[in-house]
Amino acid sequence: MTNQHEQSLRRGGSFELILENLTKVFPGADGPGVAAVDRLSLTVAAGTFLTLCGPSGCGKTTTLRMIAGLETPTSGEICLAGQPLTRIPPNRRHIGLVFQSYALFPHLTVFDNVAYPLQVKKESAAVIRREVDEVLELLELAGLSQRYPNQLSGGQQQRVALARALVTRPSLLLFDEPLSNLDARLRIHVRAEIRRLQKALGITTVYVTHDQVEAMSISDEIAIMHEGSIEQIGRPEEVYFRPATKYTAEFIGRANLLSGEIVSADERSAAVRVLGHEFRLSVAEGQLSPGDQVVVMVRPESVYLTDSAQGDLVGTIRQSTFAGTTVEYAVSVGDTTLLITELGDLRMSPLKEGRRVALRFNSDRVHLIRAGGQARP
Amino acid sequence: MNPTARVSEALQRAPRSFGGWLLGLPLWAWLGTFVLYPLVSVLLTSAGESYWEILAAPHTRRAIVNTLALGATVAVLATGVAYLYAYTVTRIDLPRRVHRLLHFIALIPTVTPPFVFGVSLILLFGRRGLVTHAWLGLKGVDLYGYPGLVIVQILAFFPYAYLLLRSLLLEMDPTLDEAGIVYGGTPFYVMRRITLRLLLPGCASALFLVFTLSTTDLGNPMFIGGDFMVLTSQIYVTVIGLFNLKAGSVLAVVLLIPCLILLALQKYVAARESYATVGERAARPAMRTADPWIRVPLVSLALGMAAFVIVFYAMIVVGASVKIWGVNYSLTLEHFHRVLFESWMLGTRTVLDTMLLGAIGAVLGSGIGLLGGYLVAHSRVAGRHWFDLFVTLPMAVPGILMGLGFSIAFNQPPLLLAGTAVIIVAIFLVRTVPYSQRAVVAAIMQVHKSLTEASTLAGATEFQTFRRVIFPLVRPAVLAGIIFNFTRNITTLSGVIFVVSPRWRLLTAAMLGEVETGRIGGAASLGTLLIVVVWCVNLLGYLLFERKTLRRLGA
Repeated sequence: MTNQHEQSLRRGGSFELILENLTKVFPGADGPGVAAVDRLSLTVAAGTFLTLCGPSGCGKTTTLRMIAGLETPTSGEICLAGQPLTRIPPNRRHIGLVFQSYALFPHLTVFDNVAYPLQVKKESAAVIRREVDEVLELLELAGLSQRYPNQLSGGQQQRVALARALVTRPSLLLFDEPLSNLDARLRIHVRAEIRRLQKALGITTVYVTHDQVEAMSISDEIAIMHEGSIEQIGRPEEVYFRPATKYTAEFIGRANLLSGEIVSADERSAAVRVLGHEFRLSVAEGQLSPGDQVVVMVRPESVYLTDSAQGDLVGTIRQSTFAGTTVEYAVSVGDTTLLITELGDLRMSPLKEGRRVALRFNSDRVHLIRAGGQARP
Repeated sequence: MNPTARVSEALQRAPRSFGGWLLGLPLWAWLGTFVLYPLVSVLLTSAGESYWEILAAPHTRRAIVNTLALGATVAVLATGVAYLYAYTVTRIDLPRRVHRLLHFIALIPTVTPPFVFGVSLILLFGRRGLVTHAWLGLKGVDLYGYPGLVIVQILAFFPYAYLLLRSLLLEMDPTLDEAGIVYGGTPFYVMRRITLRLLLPGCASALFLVFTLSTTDLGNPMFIGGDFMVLTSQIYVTVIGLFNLKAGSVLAVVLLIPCLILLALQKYVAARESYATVGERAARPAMRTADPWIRVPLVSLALGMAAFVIVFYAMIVVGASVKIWGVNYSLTLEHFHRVLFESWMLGTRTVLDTMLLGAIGAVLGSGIGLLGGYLVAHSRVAGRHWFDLFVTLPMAVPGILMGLGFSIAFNQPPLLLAGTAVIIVAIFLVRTVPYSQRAVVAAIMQVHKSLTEASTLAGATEFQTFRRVIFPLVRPAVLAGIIFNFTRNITTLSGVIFVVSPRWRLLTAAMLGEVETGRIGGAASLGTLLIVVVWCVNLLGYLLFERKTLRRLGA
């Protein structure tokens, strides 16, 4: 990296991050290694908040650690603001990273923890005091600056970790499951706080979590990861309502995946027979022909229980679970069991198990996935 | 009564049925006879009007100063070396094979009597040493005394500090190092300001440990101390040479003082700053740096230390196999022949006695440790915490003090045990049961309490619970303990030097005899035999127990 570029990064701002064919193979105990990340390519536009989301072992943390420089890619390139990062050691990348465990130095006070990135750069004491005070103020930690990490609550530790990540105005902000050590209530609060700060500062951000609700509520874009590569990338509502694969459909939220057969199809739409009922769906890509086996997905909240006169299908309630805000029903239609969610205030008391009901689908929300789930070539 | 209360009452009542005093009484009797009685005997012998006189004598003061100076030097240097060595093994990017080799070499001195390195120093840097005499051609120059002791004790004791610091480095939250790097620190900066800083409490422990090992070492001051008298060698000379039990006891009690102070300090430091292991349990190994500015010097140092250990170790075998060191380097087996077969097979009997008594002591020690550990960790017998304290007391007591106590206490009625095998096995036990018991207590603590509660609620008696739940889970610790005990038993010198007799001889004491009569080849061949026995038993133990355990754990 040129010195001039380093200078421009130091001033802060929004930069584009590009990962190109990034691969990480960990050497196996014996025999060939395992590819934790496999030819992953990704572009994060400047100022975007992108979340890598997937189950444990999908390579999301390894990807993040490669961006931070804590792991060396086996092949591939990482570019930030057009400059290749791969050969730059981690201590010169100028990236903010919030660890899952926070990784606050237990022997340093809050002030010294936050000052650490400036101290190692040999900034003057006055600059350090000004910058640290400013960021502590921003995160409402000013009163705690002389405390030690073990004297802080989990939420406070998390804010100190964030302060340390922000104090140098990094060119990129990384989060590794930062909320997993917080209780549920605090998690929602901190989530909103992180989002608000990121928007205000405009820093390009990559966030790693296995929690799909967290991913949807915090991100501009979500990249669903599966076995070391990206399964789908898109805005939260895209990924939620129009999953490209069965894997994404089941990973994000809960999904009814039903097998169907194409009855007729043209460029824009297709008629699909599912559970004996014919649906007309709009499709993004053509190339469907009658007789094709497909999978359609419908979210539990996009199926309504109605009077039998208006229903698309008829089924029997097998289980009903009252959960306050919502009521969940398992309804069997033939051999298939559908999951249906209703708002809790819709009825005085949930429908009884064993009752015959009619189902009506919100056909705008019935989404077609090609059989086998491989929507992309 | 609600069901929960009934369950917890059943659980409280159950363990009292078995064990109890049936187990407690014999253990207390053993403890009283072989730990407390000898210790009290030394204290009583030392007390009296000439106490201050002995203490004020110039040679006593010199021995005290020498002991402290040597201990402090060795502690600081060995701990420093150990930190760098442990850092190399855990944080430097090297082929796995090199890491393993370095680790393995560092284990060698822990299964070797420290004075084996003393014998090697004589061979290398003595008056007729390979380096001093043969290579440098120096006449009458040697490294005996303070410098030689420092070198030998660092080699012999740095591995203990290394093992301690290594396990702390492995347990340390690796993200702290990572944060240090990501936020702009160079590897060298992080190594000093983060890793070392967090390891300081551990370094303090290592410092105290090495200091204690140094000040209680008898073999090396006897072999290569020369005029540099320390407390242990002073005690030996006073008791064996001058037959002055009283003065010896006074010196032994003086030696106990720094040991107890350091033990207290160690507990204090550990309690005050224990964050080295706080935080996330290491989920992934820590980052390993490839920065040449760190790697090259550290790897050189570690390899250098490892080479030193190997050279000193190999020197024993070489020394045992040449005719007359420094004069005639032709190969021979005559030293082995002499120490093994001459004087009516004296050496052979020594080897057999050593192995027999060492093995009996090792098995009994593990057994007592198992019962004691059970008593402490699981039973509800009153006074079990006192029992734990007293049993583990010998961990802090210098071996020479314990041995002196034995020779005073059991040289007179009512328990005239001097000259028997019993006294030797007993002192083996006193010095190993603390470790066995600690291991069992730790293993039982790991057995989740709910397992034994489940067993009790399923209707098992306490004995059944012990046999079918607890014992299988602590068995690996007990079996590994037997090997550890055996190694410790046959490599100790300071503990047994006052209790060996013509009827029951031990290899370590026989080595001292050879050195004292100037037969360095004989000492080296006895040392070689000792090493061979230790390695065979450790290898056997590894093949029998450890590998099975490892396989079961899927490693």
